[in-house]
Amino acid sequence: MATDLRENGKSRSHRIDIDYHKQTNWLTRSRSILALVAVALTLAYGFYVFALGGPSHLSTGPVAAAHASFESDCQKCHLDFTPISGDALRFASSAALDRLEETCQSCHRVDHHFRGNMKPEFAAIDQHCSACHTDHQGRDHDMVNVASHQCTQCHNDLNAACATTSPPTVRANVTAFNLEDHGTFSSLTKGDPGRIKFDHAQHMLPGQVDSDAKGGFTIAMLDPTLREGYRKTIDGAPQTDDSLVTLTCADCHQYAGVPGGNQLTTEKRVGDNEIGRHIAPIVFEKHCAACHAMTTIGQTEETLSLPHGAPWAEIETLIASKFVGGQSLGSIRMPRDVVRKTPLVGEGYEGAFKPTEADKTEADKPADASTSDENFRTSINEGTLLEAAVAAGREAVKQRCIECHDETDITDESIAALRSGQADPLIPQRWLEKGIYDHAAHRKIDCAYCHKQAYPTPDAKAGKPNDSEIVMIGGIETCSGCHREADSPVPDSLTSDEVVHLLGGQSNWGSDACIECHRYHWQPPAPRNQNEPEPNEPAPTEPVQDGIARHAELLQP
Amino acid sequence: MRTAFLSRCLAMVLVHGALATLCDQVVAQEWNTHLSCASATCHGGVVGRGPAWNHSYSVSRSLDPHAGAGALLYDSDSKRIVKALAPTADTPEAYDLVLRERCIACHLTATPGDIASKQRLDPRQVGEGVSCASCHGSSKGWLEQHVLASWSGPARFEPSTGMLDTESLVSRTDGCVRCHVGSRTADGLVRDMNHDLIAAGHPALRFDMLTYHDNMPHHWDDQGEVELRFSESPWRVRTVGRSLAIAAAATLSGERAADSLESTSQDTSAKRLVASVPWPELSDFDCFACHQTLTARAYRLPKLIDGKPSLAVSDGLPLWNAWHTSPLAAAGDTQLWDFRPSPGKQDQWIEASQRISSLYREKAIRDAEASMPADIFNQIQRDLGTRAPADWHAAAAIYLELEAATRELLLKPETRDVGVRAAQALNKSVAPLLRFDRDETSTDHRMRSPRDFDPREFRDATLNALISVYEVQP
Repeated sequence: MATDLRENGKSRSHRIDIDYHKQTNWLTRSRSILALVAVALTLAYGFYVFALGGPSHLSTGPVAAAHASFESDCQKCHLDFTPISGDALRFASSAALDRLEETCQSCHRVDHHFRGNMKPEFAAIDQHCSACHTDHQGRDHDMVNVASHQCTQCHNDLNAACATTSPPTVRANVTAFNLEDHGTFSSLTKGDPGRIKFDHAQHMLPGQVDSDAKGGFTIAMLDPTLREGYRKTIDGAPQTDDSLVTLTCADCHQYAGVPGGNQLTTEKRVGDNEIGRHIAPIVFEKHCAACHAMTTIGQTEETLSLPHGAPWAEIETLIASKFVGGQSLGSIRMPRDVVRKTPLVGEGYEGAFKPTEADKTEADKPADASTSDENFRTSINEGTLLEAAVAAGREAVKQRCIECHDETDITDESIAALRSGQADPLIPQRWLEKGIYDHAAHRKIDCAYCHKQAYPTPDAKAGKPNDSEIVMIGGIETCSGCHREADSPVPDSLTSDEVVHLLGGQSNWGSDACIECHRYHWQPPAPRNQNEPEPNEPAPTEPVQDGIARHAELLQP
Repeated sequence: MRTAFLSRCLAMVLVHGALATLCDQVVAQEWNTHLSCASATCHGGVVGRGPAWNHSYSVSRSLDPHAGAGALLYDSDSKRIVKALAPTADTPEAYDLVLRERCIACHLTATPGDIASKQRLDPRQVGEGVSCASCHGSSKGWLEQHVLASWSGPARFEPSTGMLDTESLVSRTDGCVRCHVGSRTADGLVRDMNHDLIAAGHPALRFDMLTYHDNMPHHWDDQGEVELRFSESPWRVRTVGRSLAIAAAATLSGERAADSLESTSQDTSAKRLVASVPWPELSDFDCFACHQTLTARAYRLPKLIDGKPSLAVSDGLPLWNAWHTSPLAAAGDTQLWDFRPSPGKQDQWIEASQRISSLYREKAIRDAEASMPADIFNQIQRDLGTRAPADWHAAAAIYLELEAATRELLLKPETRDVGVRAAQALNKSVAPLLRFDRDETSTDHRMRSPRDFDPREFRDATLNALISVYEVQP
């Protein structure tokens, strides 16, 4: 007999309580509890964040001090719920990067870095300011201290990063700071764009003459007011007026910092004049005129200095002024001046060649305008005396000009272009076009370490000044010995006594990070307030003797 | 005829050989620009600062009359001279051509190319006047070497270097007389200040080394060893200067004679282009022999008993180069007879010029090593006691010798007192007697002459001056 196994309604009613839905179980209790806990935690977190202060829970960290003023204004940089971190899951990265860039640019007016030449993924990196300038790393975080790998992600293979088909104009694969991986400084391979005829080595010699030459320049030849500035102390004794002028680098090359002394105190550990990255441009009046004074013909005691780089018309006017003025004052001899001479036998002091009235009438009769005599009278007159003197004086001045300048650079047109900045300077303002060199930071090092060619050699003879054909800056090898990877051993090139002496106690290790020398953005940042010391400048523990001063010591026998 | 011409040519060769000392020193016909000297670090420094060599150009350019020698070619005096020389030169171009032909060989540092050019003169060249190279030589051969410590000694002045010797008295004087007496060959230039130019208004040349040397602003170190040789004996400077001036004048006379032959010869192979050279050249002779007032009162000639010179105007033969030779003629130097203005006697003249030139050059060399005679005042006193000077020139020579001796006495402490008294006496009573213009009756410089000069008055005044010097001696 078959059994009916299907559950009927009655049996189900016995099995299930009719008010089962009113009963609780562990699941429902847990759900409720968890919901309550969630609400409580939310309230508590909200209370913590908004009432007790806990903004770090909303960001990755405090922003840098420079950005602290808008730390609580997230939307300054961020779009809502759109992360911009490089490793974040992003849904609207383009809009987020636009916001960030716009915000950064509102203060930091910098240009992009060849973005138009980049493939899209690299262009996004270029646009992503915080990819390199990472914020939320704390108040003291240095956002401009960009790690080198940020640079090499493109520069280790520019061909891969560039969208253009033409090869990059710079080395395509730079991976480290050494000759092999970086190449030498491209600026130095282009030759010297300067146009000043100069011989550094000759100027470094005592008296600016070869050791086997005579006629060296002495202190006494200088203007009395300038002598103390050029008088050196040799063997503990100051030079006399008869001593040869002995120049050091510092006589012409000064830090482009704040003018002032180099007095170091407990409060001021870096001299005011050392603050600045570059060497000040050479200025004729300051660095050359003491010995190479531009004066009118015949430098008498009442010498008249000519302005350097003035239009020729102005020079000629001053020459004429000096000629006439000098004659008036007696420092220049007048034509037929017999006052200052012993008369010949037979002649009186008033001169033997005084023209008679008859002579004057004959020679100076009024011109007849109808004849060529008018031209004769007009052209050959007493004014010709001064005209000739001015012409000769101008030629003498010109000859002095071309001691240092090319003739093409001393025309009125060239001078005007130079003074207005429309022409390239005769001495380049800087030599490393893509890099930065901080002379102040390297002030302990003797100048000769990097500028060896500027120094005389024992066998060298003064010849045609050709320094403008030589770039007198050491290549990358002079830098990479010290600027190398951390913890790498000191190279042999830095261990010789000579080099140690030249380094003058400067640390023989420095960072090899790209940003030590290079800047990423085309538009340079606003000039640093030169009253502020370099933030990365290590405070010297003792007064610093800079390399230029040390070089002066080396010159002493 | 042919033999005569060859002998003339041979004579010219001999004369030119005598000039070798001068000519060979200046072989370069292209001056290096003086402006390479004018750098502030070389010779163009500020006057008064540092050693003298550093501002030697500045001193020269500012105060030396040589620097203005070019500019004055355009002043009224020069215009008058040019107008007289070339009345038709009435355009600036024509004016400059006259200057090129007649003037710039001395008034500028010029080359034969400058003389031959037909262009207007470069104002720059005119403005520089007589510049460094005229006296120191073209620096092409020594510009780089002369700064070396090894650049010293007589080798510097070898002809091959081109640097002219300005350190010895003889050679420095040689440098002066090229223009201040004249030459028709030195440096390949004709520097002949002849009668035409004097007649046109240029002053006659009466070179005196000591006076001219004093009148140059010293662009050298007066305390240097070289200059002490010049300053220690004014008498020596004057004596050597006079001898060399005679030698140069004789050489110039010979050159004039030779060129007068060349200019009239038909020999087209003559290398030098010589314009018509007048002969005899009147500027070789005493100006005042002819230029004097033709009145009985003014016609004052020394009496025969006073030692009339052997060649004087009274003989109808003016004395050759009276400024230099009048004392010699008075002393009976018969060699001067050869310089007689005889047309057609150039050969004889050329030979005499060579002989006289050599003679006085050798004398100059000897005098350069000589010392002033201790009894020079007594010698002059004895000579004057015997005879009055023959003419103004002879008197001037006596005065100049006394003046040089006086200056030398002033230099030494032990003779300074005598020198002071002599200087006072000469300045007061002797020098004024030699003045051309002491009566100021004529302002025409061309007519100035010692027409009122009285040799006896001069002798008496000089003797009295010398007596007064010794009268107060203990």
